[in-house]
Amino acid sequence: MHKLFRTDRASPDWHPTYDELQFYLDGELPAEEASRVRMHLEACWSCRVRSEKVQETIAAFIDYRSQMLEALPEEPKQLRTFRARLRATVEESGRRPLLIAWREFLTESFRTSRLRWAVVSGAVAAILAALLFMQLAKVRVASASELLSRSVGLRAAQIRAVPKPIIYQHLHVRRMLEAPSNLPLDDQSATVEIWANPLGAQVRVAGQGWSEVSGASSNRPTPSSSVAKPQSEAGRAFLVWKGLEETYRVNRMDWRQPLSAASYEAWRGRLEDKYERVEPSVLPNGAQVLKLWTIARGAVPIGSIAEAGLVLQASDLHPIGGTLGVRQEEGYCNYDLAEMSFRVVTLEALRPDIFAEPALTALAEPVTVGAAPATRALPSVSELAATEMQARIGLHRVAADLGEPIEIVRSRHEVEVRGLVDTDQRMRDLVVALQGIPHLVMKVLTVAEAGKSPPVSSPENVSEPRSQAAPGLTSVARAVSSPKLPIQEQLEKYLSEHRSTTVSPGGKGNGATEGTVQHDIQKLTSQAVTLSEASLEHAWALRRLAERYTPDEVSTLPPESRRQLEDLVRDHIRALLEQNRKYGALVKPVLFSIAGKPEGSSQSSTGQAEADWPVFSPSLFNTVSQVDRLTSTLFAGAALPVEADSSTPGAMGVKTKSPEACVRDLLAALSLLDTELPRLEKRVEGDFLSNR
Amino acid sequence: MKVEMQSRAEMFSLEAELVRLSQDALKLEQKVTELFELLRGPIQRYLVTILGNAAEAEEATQETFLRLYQNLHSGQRIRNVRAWLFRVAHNLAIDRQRTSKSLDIMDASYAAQLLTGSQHLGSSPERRVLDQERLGRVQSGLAGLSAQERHCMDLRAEGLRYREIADILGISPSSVAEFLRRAINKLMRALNA
Repeated sequence: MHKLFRTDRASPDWHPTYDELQFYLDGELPAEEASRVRMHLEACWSCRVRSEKVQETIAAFIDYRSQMLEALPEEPKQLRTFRARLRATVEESGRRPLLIAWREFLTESFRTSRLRWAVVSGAVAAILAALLFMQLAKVRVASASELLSRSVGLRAAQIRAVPKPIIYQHLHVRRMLEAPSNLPLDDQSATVEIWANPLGAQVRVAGQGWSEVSGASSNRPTPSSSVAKPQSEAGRAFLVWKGLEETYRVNRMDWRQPLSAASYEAWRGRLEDKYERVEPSVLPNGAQVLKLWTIARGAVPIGSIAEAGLVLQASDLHPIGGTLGVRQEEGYCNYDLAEMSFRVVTLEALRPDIFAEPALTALAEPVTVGAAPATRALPSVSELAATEMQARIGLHRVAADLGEPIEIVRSRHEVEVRGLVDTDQRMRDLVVALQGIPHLVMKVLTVAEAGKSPPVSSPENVSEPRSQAAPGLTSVARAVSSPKLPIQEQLEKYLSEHRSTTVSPGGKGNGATEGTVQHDIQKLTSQAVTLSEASLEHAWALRRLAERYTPDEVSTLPPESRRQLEDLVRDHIRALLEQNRKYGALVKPVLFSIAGKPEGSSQSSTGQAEADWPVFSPSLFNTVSQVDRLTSTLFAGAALPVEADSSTPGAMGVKTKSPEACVRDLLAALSLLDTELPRLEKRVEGDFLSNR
Repeated sequence: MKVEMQSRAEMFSLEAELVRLSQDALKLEQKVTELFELLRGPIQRYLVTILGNAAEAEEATQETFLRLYQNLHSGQRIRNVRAWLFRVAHNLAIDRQRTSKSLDIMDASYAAQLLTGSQHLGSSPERRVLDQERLGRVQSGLAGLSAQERHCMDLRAEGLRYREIADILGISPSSVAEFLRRAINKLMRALNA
């Protein structure tokens, strides 16, 4: 468009057109023309004023827009919801379509070319090899055989170091059965513990609730087809394990050590024709690993493994995960294995009847007696500190540090993540988040696995308001069902006035109908409750960190862990600040309409805000939880708090606070947060822990 | 932990990375999650201005990124991820938008807050009154924009270039320039009225 005016530019009387100005301001003019306009603007007042007018208009629009968008509430759980939806999408579209499709492509190519095999084999092989290298083999670190034999050797050394060794493996097994047609994917999981004598035949496998399903029948594997579909969670998990065991037997692999290089090699070594790749990779939690893939070329019989993968820790070639693709009559059955913990212990440390019949049992009392398991040399304190911090970061990445009943316990020789999760999906989140962290042991159960047993409430969790499952839902439900809030009238008044002034020049919607005001109240209250709960979650996480990392503890942290702790703290404080800002924008106007604006700012009560890490977090937590309590009182109809003063000394005769007093308290707490949070954010900039 | 995506070079390396990752479902999933964390803000903001409803915008934002995964996974090559996301989000929003009034409703409820003085606009009372008046004028000016003009303004406000906006809205870059020109003119008139 601006090109039209090019010819005029030579004239001394030239001024940029409006279009040229706009293009110039938006950086859409070619450099040469832009510099001409810039020079002209320096010289010409009237054009400069014109351009400033445009800028002012844009500025006004931007201000308007940002304030309008700022007023919006944000659903704080969004990332978690998105992750879950994405996971479902990933699974729908097939988890490893490339490998499967590719294998089929290969099989197909060979089948069709078999007639002229002698002639074309060379060419086909060359093309396929080229394809393979283009597609997959970017980096070759070592050959698969080399890698596996080194891994076998390292485990053998580990076993030799322990007298009367027993290998203990705690595994999460997931089975995805490709349905024949468009039926949904059959997706089941099991968590198993295996104790196996690597030098003998003794073995014991245990899973939650298996005593009921396995019965006293036998230890022999029953083909899964002959077993009626069990209804219980434990029964289904049991079948997952039996199916896996069967697969290992059919493929002549060592099912007693499912995740081991030796077992993998037993299958792989017998394949005559295969494709393989080894590639270094980094897991989402930052763990360095090597991934090995093996794909059998040509058709494999039903029940055989068509492809498999093994994930090895890069540092010690210890296998931490694996997958198996087993050919079924139709489609494939995929197993994913992930290690939750691994130890080589001495038989002496175990209960004497550990290998007593039956070999398949319920997981019950701890089987370890006596002292700490002696596997490798004990990790150093700073190694354990680093492990713990990695675990915290891992959990933070999947938002598992915001009140779920999950705790991290550090002992002299390892770090344990214990807890209870709602679903299998969540379990997988955690397994992925923590996979490959050295010296880490996962003891996490799903609610279904835990069965009838009540949720494990760790001492740390008992007093926490957020330790119960999904309190957000209950209080929102409360807000919806509760017919009358303590400030119901004021809310109605405020929102309906608000509405009547709302009607824009366009004249949309004629004022407030009863229904819409109620709807607005509901919207406002549920947003308020959600936001204050989200704040509480972060304040709680911060408090936990502060309690865990006393200044003494911080001084023992390796630099990298210290940096990670800083990141964690910063993340939580920023989230708090953000939630608090949104919460304030949402409720303050309403509260002001009830209690009036406070005179001047209440800076006096900020107290010792200058206190150092980690002193500020408990007080911060108290303020945030006060906000949350008042929020549920005012916006969700929880009982009004009792007055703190002792005008009525009787034990039962305490009087409740008035709603107006609650509103004033809430405003005071908010203004405290408004001054303290930004100050905190400033304080945690940069290396705030390392500087001291 | 926050990364800003800035240069073109980064964009190209992102494209290359996505092509590489599209082969590996797990890595791709991880990458799409990262992109979601990085870019959901702008996408959601834009969707809110069209849909006028935070919850719906949030849902559509997630849908947009799920489509990103599906498209990459099926081997589609995406050159400019940000613009691609905006385009998909835009189309989703237009499909969902049942009435064209949502925007006005959004603006109207915001205007109500302006009138009740709920926003922390300026420090002094005089400043606040001035700001409120100015924002009120913007609001009435925006009421006079066509949908396309408003989209162009919102997309430009997210830092997209004319060519990208053109791509997203399926119009020519010169139309983008023209819409922006008209929009700014209308706003300017409202501000100086």
